[in-house]
This record gives sequence, C-alpha cells and structure tokens, in this order.
Amino acid sequence: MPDRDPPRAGDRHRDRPGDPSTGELLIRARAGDARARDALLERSREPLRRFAHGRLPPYARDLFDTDDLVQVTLIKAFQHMGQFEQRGEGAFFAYLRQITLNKIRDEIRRVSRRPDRTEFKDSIASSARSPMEEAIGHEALDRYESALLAMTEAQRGLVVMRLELGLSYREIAESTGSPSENAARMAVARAVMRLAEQMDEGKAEE
Amino acid sequence: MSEDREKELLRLAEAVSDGTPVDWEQERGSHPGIQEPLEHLAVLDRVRQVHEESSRVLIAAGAKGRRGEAASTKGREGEPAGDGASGRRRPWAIWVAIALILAAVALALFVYSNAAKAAR
Repeated sequence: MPDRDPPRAGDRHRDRPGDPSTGELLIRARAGDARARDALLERSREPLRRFAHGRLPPYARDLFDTDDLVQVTLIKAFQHMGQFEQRGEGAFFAYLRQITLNKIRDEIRRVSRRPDRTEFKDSIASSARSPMEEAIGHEALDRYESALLAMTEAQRGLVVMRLELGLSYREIAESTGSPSENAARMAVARAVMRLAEQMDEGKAEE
Repeated sequence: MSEDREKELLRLAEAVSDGTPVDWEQERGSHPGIQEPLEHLAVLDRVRQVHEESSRVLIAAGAKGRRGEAASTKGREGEPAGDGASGRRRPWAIWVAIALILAAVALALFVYSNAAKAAR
C-alpha cells in the first residue's frame, strides 16, 4: 500500500514502532497507571489541536489560545476517565472530539455574551465563521454533525480518527484492533460511504 | 443499493479517506444516478482537506516558533531593552537592568557614607 498519509502536526511524538497501542494505554490508564495516562494525553494532543483549529472562528482563536483550550479539555476528559465506557472501536477519540467540540461551543458562547466588547463584536462580524463553516457552509456542517451522531459508535470513531484527527491507518488499526492497515483502510472507506448515505437520508427527512 | 452504485461510491469513499485528489466535476458528469451521495462525499472531502490544512498551519506555526526561539537566544547588538531578536518581549531584561541600577545606587551610597564617616 503506498504511503497515503500526509504529514501531520505532532507526527514526531507518535507512530513509533514498539509504542503501546491506544487501546492498551487506555486499559492501563483506567487502571490508574499515570505513565499510560500521560502517554495517552500526549498522543491525543496534536490530533485535537488540528481538530480545534478547524472548528474555531478566527476571532475566537485570537481570544483564547487553541493549545490552552485543548489542554483544559484533555485534563477534563482524563479526570472523568472512570465514566468513559469503551463501548466500541475508536470510541475514545470520538469521545475526546465531542468534549473538545462542546468546549469550543461553550467558549464561543461565553465570549459572545461579554457586554463590554464592542470592538470584539465588530471583529465577530468579519470573522465569525470557522474554517470548516467557510469550506462547506453552515447547513452542510449541521447535516454532517447530525449524520455523524446517527452512525454507530464504531463507524463514527473511524470517520473521526481518519478525516478529522488525521490518524494513519496503522494507528487506526492499533486503536480498533483491526488485523491490518488495509483492513482498517477498508473499514474507514465503508464508514465514509455510510456517512454520505446518512447525510442523504438526513436531507430527505428535512 | 445496486452493486455498481455501491462499487462507485466505495471507490470515491476510499479516495476521500486516502486523501487522493478527486475531480468532482468529472465524477458528477459520469454518474448522474448517484448525484446526492456524490455531493455528500465531496463535502466529506472538504472536511478532510480543512483538517489537513489545519495540520499544515500548525506545523508551520510550530516551525516558525522554534526558529523565533532559537534566534531570540542569540540576541542582537543595539536591540532595545526588552525586545527579543524575533520581536518577542523580554520583560526579564528590564528587571535585570533595574536591579543593576539599584545595586549601583546602593554601592554609591555605601561608599559615600563611608567616606563621610572617615572625613568626620
């Protein structure tokens, strides 16, 4: 299989042969292993930064630091690790992604409520849309999010890991217990196709 | 779903997840029977591209930050106090300067008072 994975922020921290898989780290972290927890935190940071960057409007990126937002989100997620149930393949990354998205929405709401920021409100008008909204539009983004939520947890995890967080097929295979990279690749492609059909069904219901 | 339809959609879904460029205009023309899911796959392609672009921006910002840090440790002749070589503020430089001035003043006062005592 040719190298289909583009360079990603944080590659130097991940994907080293011999590193424990995300699933292994998750089991150890939940059992109270602090080193496994730190390794998981480190492994999750860059994919979430990438995700958050695409979802933050430019004005919000000026007001709060993306790294801080991701760090706070990760700490919160790991504090509640006991409540996280590993229900399916890729569920962990889908869980982190959802917490990050909720945190972004909270921050945007919080900043928008500030009464004393007239210059800020002017800047909102000029840069209120995130790169994702700019690229696909608000309506398509809503349909995408709804269709994603309607998928099974396993399929959602595959789409999130590959399209949003930019994980390699090898990382996905390790996270999901897939027998090979190629099997992981086929599973992702099927999940992407299923998502497109789900978006179509969502459109028909509107 | 017919077999051909599924085969075509799966081929495009593979291209989207692999990040292989797809000529969506050409695909639209070639597959009039699967317009709707094809449009959604094109949207998913854009979703992947936006996140890839974010990665590139973050990598570039990281490299720029690292270059800036390396340059700021070298310093420059005649640079204003508190300004790093990369344009970053260095407030500690101001505090060092203030501490040196205070030390010089204290030393001068000490020398002056000793000299005054000796004169008496």
